[in-house]
Amino acid sequence: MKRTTMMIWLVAAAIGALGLFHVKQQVKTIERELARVESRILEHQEAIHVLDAEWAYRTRPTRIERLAREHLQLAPLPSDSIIGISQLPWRGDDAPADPARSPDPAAKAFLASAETGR
Amino acid sequence: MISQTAPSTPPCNPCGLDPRDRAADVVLEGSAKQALETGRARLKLAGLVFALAFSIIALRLVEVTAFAQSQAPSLAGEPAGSAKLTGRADIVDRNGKVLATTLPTASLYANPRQVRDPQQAARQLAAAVPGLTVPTLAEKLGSDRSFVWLRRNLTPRQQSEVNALGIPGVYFKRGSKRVYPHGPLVSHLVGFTDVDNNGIAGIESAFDELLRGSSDPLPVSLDIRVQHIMAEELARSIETFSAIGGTGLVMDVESGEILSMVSLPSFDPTEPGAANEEALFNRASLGIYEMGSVFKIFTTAMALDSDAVELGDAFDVSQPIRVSRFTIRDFKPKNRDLTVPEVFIYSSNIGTVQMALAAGTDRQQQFLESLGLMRAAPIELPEVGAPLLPEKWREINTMTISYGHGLAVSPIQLARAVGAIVNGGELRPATLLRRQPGELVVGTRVIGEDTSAVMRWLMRMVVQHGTGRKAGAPGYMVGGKTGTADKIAGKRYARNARIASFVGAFPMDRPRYVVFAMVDEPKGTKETYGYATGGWVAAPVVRAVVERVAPLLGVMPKPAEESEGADVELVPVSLQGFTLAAH
Repeated sequence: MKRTTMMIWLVAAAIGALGLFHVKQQVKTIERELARVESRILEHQEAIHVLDAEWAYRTRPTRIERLAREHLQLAPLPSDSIIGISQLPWRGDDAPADPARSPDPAAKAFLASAETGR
Repeated sequence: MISQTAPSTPPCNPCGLDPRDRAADVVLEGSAKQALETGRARLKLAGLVFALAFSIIALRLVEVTAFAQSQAPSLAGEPAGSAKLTGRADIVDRNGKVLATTLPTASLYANPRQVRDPQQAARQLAAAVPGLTVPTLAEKLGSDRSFVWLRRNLTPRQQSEVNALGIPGVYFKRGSKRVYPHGPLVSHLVGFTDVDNNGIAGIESAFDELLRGSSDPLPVSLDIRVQHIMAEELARSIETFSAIGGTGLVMDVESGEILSMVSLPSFDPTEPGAANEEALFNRASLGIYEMGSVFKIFTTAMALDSDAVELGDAFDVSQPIRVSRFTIRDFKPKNRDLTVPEVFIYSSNIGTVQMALAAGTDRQQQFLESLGLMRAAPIELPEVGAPLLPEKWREINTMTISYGHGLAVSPIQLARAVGAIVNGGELRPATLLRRQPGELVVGTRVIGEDTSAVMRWLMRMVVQHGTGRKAGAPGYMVGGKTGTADKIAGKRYARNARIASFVGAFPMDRPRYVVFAMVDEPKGTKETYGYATGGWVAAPVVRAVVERVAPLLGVMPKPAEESEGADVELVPVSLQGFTLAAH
């Protein structure tokens, strides 16, 4: 009886020791992996940081304006091209007048393009 | 242990004792027995204590492994901010655009004792890194020292090329370098650092401690787009009028935030040593100037607010004023009486002097003090100029200061004071740091709401009918005042060196931004009929800036008819229905 108990305890201790060793090895591996990932995160952060600076340099207004002048047909917006939503000619019961008969050529052109687009 | 039975024939006898000399059985009696019992009891106690200790450890083990999962320390959660990388926080504009950042760099050094073939190494390095020459390299690498710098701050490409060469004895040292992506555009405001990344000018210097100790970017009030537009328009004007420099400001009248601060000529912040004094000088905050007629804004506001004069009062401006050796005359004399609005719109010196005299010297001093024009502007820059006040404030000083001569202030002070005049009468502190949207800024009242409304109308009239017509950006209701001042050369005014300025605000029915432009020593051109006044030089800059900046800042332009209606509403009640005699 005494001997059996002893054996059980010994086996249990051996299993425990093996299990512990195994877990320890696993933790070591994972920690190595963690350190690797963390150093890579740092590397990436550094790269992002450098790219941020590069982005700021590439999008500086001086350069954007030069590129826009060279490649786009854009011009500063004259103030009379901006109107509020309330001034848009809407169709409906409360519309003040038929936009098609509006003297504004821009409104007519807009309506025409809307017709053909449909 | 004491054995109780001795074997009759022991196999060995290590101690040389002969057990046969003794009695076969040991009988423990009396004190001997008692000692044994005590020993046994102590053993039991010790065993119990150990058992208890081990079971506590066992229990703790079970607790740690099975129940303490949630308290497990996490390593990955720790944020690694940019400051940990670089040691100095970024400076960004109000929209988060990077104005200054710190980049990691590699510097090249060598241990010449470890270099086997200096000649060959020198040839290879010179090919990889432009700017290094073979003879100097060979000399450095062939020396007997153990450390020589070869090149500071390599580019990443150069670094990888040198690395690929694999020369023994050549090493990299990691460092960091401050980088300014926008170059000369914001150099006066952001400032620059020394070789060791300590801020020594501008925001870099003013917030040096904060930048060094933090990883969060520092947002300044500047809008890089507005800054670019202001710089471009000013540079155009400087070129057109062959001027020596200029400065411009855009300021939010409600929050006091400065959206643009330009001083031209500018310099490259990565090489401040290469720039001359003139370029390093921040005209917007450090420079002080006699502003000329733009000061009539303050004189008129003071006279009206203190009830020294009424809007309808008329002044005789046909005769120049003579005081001791001075003669005060008008640029374009009118040979009749002018009312207060006319004095302002035609920028009459004679009329303005009479208004200042009506209010008095004390009131003028008090008023200019309350507008912050007598003390250096409290702004977050180390480069701040203190105003130049007259040594003794006599009546003649009151007279000349009323139209902007004899008191020199910085553009920042001026913009801030004009903001107070148009925003309803409250002076707000100017700032270079971004405020939170909706943050309530406490101001001090300098003039009444009514006076502010009248001043808005007067400034609008200057642009509609007076000297500032070239500042009129259609739809945005610009109002303002022109100024042309002779520069001081030594002890007297120079005749041909002028400062042309315009300070305005828009939209005048509810001002949101103050725009200031100043051009230093402009020369008239054929297109301006030889004139180089504020109206011809600085006003067009303001118009161009407003036209380009307003859509970016979300200011809605008004269609022509609505704009006219709003202009009519600006007219003070007492004058509605009248038309100005002059136009």
